[in-house]
Amino acid sequence: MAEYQIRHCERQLEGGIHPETYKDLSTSAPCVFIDDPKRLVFPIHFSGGGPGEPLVSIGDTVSQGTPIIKCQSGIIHVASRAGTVIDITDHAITHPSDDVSASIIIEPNGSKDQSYLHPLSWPFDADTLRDRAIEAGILGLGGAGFPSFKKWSDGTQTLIINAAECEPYLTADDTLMRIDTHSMIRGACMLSQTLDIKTIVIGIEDNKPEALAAIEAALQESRSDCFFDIVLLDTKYPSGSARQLVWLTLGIEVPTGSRSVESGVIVHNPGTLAALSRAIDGKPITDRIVTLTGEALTTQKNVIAPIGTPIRHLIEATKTNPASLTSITVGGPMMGYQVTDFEAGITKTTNCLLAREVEIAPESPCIRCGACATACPVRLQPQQMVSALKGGLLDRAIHEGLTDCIECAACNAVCPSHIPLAEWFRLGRFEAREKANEQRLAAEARERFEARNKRLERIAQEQEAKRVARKAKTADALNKARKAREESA
Amino acid sequence: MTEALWTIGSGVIGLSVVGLVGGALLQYASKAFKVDGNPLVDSIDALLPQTQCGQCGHPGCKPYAEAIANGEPINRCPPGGQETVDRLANLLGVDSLPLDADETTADQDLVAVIIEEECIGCTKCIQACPVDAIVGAAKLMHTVIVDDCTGCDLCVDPCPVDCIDMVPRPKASDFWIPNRPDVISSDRFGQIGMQHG
Ligand code: SF4
Ligand code: SF4
Ligand code: SF4
Ligand code: SF4
Repeated sequence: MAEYQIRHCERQLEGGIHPETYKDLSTSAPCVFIDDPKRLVFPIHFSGGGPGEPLVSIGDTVSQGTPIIKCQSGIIHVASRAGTVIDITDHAITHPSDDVSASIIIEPNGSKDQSYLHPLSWPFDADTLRDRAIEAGILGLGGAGFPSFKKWSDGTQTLIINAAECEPYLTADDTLMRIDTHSMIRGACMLSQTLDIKTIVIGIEDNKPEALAAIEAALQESRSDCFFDIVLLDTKYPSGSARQLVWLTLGIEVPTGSRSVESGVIVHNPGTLAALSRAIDGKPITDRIVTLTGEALTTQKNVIAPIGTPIRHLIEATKTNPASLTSITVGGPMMGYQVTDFEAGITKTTNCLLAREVEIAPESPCIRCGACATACPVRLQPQQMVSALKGGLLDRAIHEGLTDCIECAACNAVCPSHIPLAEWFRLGRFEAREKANEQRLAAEARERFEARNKRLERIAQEQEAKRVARKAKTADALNKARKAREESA
Repeated sequence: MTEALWTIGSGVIGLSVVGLVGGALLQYASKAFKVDGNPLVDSIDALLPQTQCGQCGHPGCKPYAEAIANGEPINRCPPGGQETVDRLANLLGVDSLPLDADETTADQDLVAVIIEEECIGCTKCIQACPVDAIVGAAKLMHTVIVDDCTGCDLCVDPCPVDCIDMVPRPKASDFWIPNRPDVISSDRFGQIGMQHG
């Protein structure tokens, strides 16, 4: 049995909100596998892990697990089902841009052909595990899609399993912890032992008793000697935001502009660790749990679907007519984004498809009520930042703390004037990053310009010195010759 | 004039440098290290785009920064655009001026590309580039390091076989810009119910 303790979190999230959770909608039905769709869509540049290049051509036959995309970060994405590459073309993608991008289209052929990696034999070193995570395409399955191996630095003290799942409607992590508990625990233990991590913290909101029971049962059966510190968090949004979670569970404040890794903490989503456990056995990520929920769907549930499954296929799996929906929210109602083309395929980061009938309230002027500032977990003044951004004053917004904003949209949710604050901050933060990038390039150009001028000057001096030396030499020789002539005369 | 350039230039390798950037560069080179860290010049220089294109009439951004510190008008930098003029005005506490440039030269993010099949490896572009953004050895094909190129245009004219083009700066294939929240629309997700108590 693995040792563990369960404790209530003694710290309080600053700000934050208590939205209705709507979690029961999707957890009351069992999680099921979904029939294979007729086609699978894999965006080459937007599957997570950065822009990529295709490793297959039109007409190729692939097995389940055949590498099809290699990203700049090294991450490999594989075919989630055996089939034929029928096209490589611009196609709708599941992405906040709601746009099209180069994608590989695979038609599954129903065969069970598999091309997996060889199982790793325990124990292995950190580099072996990193390589495996790259080949198996392991990235953050919670939403951000950051390549997991990049977080695994030496000197890490703590692994936090982010089991808060604080956003309304989402239950994919909750489901995974109930049905795939052993994989998650095993992944966490193997990662910790490989990186020499002392403590594994599970940060879980107190509204998931079933998941908690499953975790306890799995820990009692586990033969690992890792220590698990289970921290029960009050149900409050956004306690599952990485920075907030590190503070709530460990009391560590991650400084602005740095990642939690730099404070000796790795934060992983439960699904990521379960996927890692399978990758160690040789199986790359081919499927994930997706929550299909929202009042506009006929039925709600969690499903296990192949990566690349078109959104349309999943909507149909809830007995809903896709034509009855104009758009669907990918992710939760707070931080998700809208996709309107249902031919787009789900990616590794698609944790939820949410269809709601929402009343869109028109935006009205800010009444300076301060509700947004009270809700902000980072203690910012959202109304100040948004008025700066609307006025085109990016620098002002940055000065007000824009770069600390975690885009949680708690401010949006409480604003009586329905101002889309977080959307402004998303755009503003993008512009701030672009600007920082421009400044970095300018600084580099300045350095190279100055280095070049120094070089030119040095060369000029050297040439001048040579010329002077040559002249002196010539003069010397002439002198000598003259002297010799005079002497002989 | 040519005579004068020759005299100044005789000590410098690559005479093309003289022809290209003008004798001013040499004046600059000889002067550069006498201006040690004038803080005003540095703050002005920090606002200039570092394209090093010479369109301001100076052989680089730093020399223009020095000129501004000595009272030259602040609206002579086309790559910086009106935004830079406004920032300079703000820094110096003077009234802003309209940018002194025609529409076409202002605010286009371009980079140089060398048509590699046509490049004869003459190294003239390398000597012209103010920021060392071109690599290649004599008689071998040359290449522009896209990330390092400031788009200053100075390598285009010296190329004897005209194989350098200025093209829009390529964006990473996963580059995208978030939507601008329409000022008159509303929150796209609608409100979410709150628990009470
Ligand atoms: S979106 Fe940003 S400003 Fe708004 S509540 Fe969250 S952290 Fe604060
Ligand atoms: S909640 Fe909305 S109306 Fe109230 S201060 Fe913030 S932005 Fe203004
Ligand atoms: S015009 Fe602007 S970018 Fe070009 S050299 Fe002058 S200051 Fe630098
Ligand atoms: S490569 Fe050409 S355009 Fe680019 S910085 Fe150098 S000289 Fe200017």
